[in-house]
Amino acid sequence: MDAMAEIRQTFFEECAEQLAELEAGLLAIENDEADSDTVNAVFRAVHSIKGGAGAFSLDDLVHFAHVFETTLDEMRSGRLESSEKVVKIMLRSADALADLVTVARDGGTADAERNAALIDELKGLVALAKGEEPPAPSAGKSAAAPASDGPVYDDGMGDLDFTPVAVDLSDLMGIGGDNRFKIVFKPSPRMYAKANEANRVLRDVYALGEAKVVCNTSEVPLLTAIDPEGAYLTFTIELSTAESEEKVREVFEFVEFDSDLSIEALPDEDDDDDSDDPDIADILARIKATPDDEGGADDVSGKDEPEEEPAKAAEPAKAEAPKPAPEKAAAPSAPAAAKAEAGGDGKGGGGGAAQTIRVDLERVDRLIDLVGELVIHQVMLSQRAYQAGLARASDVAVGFDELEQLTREIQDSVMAIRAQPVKSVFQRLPRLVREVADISGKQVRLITEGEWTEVDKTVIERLADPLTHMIRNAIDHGLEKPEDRLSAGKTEEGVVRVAAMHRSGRIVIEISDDGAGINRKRVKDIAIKKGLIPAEANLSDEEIDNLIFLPGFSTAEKISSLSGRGVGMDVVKRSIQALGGRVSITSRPGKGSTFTMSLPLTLAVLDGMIVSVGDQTVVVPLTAIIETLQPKASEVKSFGGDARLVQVRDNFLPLVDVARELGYSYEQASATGGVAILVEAENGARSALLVDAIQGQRQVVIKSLEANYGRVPGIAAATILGDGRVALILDVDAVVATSRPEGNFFNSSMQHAAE
Amino acid sequence: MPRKSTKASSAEDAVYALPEVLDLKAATPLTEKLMSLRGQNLVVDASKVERLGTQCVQILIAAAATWKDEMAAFSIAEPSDSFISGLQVLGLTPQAILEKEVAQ
Repeated sequence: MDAMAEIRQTFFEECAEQLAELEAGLLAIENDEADSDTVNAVFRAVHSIKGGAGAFSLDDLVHFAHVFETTLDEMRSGRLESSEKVVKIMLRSADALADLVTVARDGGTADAERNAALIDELKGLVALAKGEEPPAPSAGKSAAAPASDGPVYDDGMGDLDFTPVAVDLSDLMGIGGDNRFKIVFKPSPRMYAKANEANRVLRDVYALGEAKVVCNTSEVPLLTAIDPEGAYLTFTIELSTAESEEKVREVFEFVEFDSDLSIEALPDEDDDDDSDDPDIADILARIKATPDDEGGADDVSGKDEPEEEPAKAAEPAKAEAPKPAPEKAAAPSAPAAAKAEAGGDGKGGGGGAAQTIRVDLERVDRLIDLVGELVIHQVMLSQRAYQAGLARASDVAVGFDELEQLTREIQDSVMAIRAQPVKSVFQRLPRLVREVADISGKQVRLITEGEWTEVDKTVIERLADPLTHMIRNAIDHGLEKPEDRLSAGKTEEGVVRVAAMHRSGRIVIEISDDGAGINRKRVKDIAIKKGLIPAEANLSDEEIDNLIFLPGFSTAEKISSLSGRGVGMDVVKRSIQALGGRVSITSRPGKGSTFTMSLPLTLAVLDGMIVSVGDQTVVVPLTAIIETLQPKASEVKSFGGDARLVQVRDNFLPLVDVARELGYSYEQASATGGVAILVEAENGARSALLVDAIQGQRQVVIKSLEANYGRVPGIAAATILGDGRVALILDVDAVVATSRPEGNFFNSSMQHAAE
Repeated sequence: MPRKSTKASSAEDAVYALPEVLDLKAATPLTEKLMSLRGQNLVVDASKVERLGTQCVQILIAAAATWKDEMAAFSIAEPSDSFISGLQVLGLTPQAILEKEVAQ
């Protein structure tokens, strides 16, 4: 990957974070949990996206973000009330922004019509915020902003816009006031590199009151020595305003860390003495002392455009010496920097943000692999030592015990690196709920709980689809229409609750709704009509509920854009089972339904039953196993060629001879001499696997067979046992399927329903 | 070639018409262009400027100082309204650009 593509990728990663922050913030505002920091955080998120997008000339994105930002600015400054209607528009805009980011990253086209409509709505809000002022852009700091929406708008630098008409400074000026400040503002090259413009900041200052600005050009070097993207000007502003010092500082919020800034209240009217903010003064002092501390982010740029280094030796402004070419390369790092600052500038204190690093997933995986090896070798070593006659009470044995504990701990910690809170999936849900609610014409409130529950990254990635499906299902099928809810004595607004929690080494996710619950009669009728169950079947409530997981089952009579295409809960169930998870359902008529899925915390280790097949050791994933039994001779029936069935209570299940399937032996194993393991394949079909003996049950570290050897039919992966031997992990689905190429002619759905 | 300046209009003067957009991206090309025009009297035509970023202002100031240092004439002709207002925001005027003292 070349440097630019890498930076671009970083930008998109950070976009995702900013979007998440944006959405979280807006939701907090919607729920009245917001404070001024929240609004600022939301504003910053959009601003950062815009800044980064500008560097990549993502014009559509910049354009939209710009309008969005302008509106948020109105909210930030308190001119626009965060009413429900406003927040709804903002949320939809956040969705649109997310789409634009996706389009910018993956190609494709955004919904231009919707975006245009949203831009109009957003502009409407700005006009509204201005109250008596006419909506046409005329004066004030937003004068620059709407102008950029016109066709002249053509580059990524929204902040650099100028209205192409004469601007009399007096138009820009706000009303003077009693407070007078002397502001010395010296931008650093970093500030420009982050797509902030001095003139924008200055306009914002002018909007606060009457300002006199003097520009000191003495540091500008000769053309031969100039860095075209350096910063040489110092602005001294005398401002008289009705606003407080805090307000004035807010203007500089985004550039504070990238410029030398001093704001002092001038005597004669000094109600705000400047000692009221010692924190900021302190921070400024520190920043001055280490002007280039944030340089880390800019380092990336070095490799990008090294040629841009004019003779800097002659430069007079040494303390502020611009780093080589921060330009484009540094701009994408702006969101990161802004984020780092986010913790600080809200309260004026520093360094509150959590410290994180970005690591290539491959590196973590390699580490996990190596630690897995370490564990295996540690076990092997101690086993060998005991075999060689090491006394259990010896010092060496004690050392082995300690080593074992340590390696386990290392393994746990390394696994924890991959663990991520499910928040990343949960935070996509509000948008989903909004969209589905819109389409289905229902009012839905989403409650999420336990979003900090951690689970392995690979599980998270594969969790999104089934979760999406289930929530869509809960809204579309679970919740009633508003009028039906009212007549049932419920509130108009339905509630969908998604909760994640840890339960005995697994993660459990519950999706519940307060809808009508499953209409069991209807479900049963449909299942009969579709031939999924016999008409005379006598099913318990629970069995009926589980019918909805059958392939081909659909309750919707007409196909909507949401559901009803017959790809439904069976897909959900299958994808959850593919993750080694299970899903179940409970439903109370009139009260709602709860879907519970339980998933392993990681896909790197697996709970397995260790069994002997011939002279081989094989691991059967525990999630597939329902029960084990020793077949009696009377229960085993032969039919056809050499196919066999085993009777388990009222059912006949195919008996799969694992040793033959895997080619360990050609003789048919004696059914009564072995153990039958009842397994359920992903499609719900049950079979009995015939193995020789059960050795035990343990957690094994999964080693990919494809990566190390090649694909073997019937084998999912391999693991290394404590004695150093390789054991194969059985692919239950494949083994069962190859044993019956013509498919299951037993009524698998009945067995499934009877689960 | 754009209209000649009304002020400095000797025939040998080079005239350089500033582009419409002088933002961050225009800074480096502008520097290079001005460097290539050194050593002769120069009239900078600012009539088309619609957007003026701070960095380009810095470069113009540096250019004016450089020309002054090299004892050549440097002038700004027909500044557009946007150009003037862009300077105003920064507390500058076209005149102020030309008056920059040579940095020692």
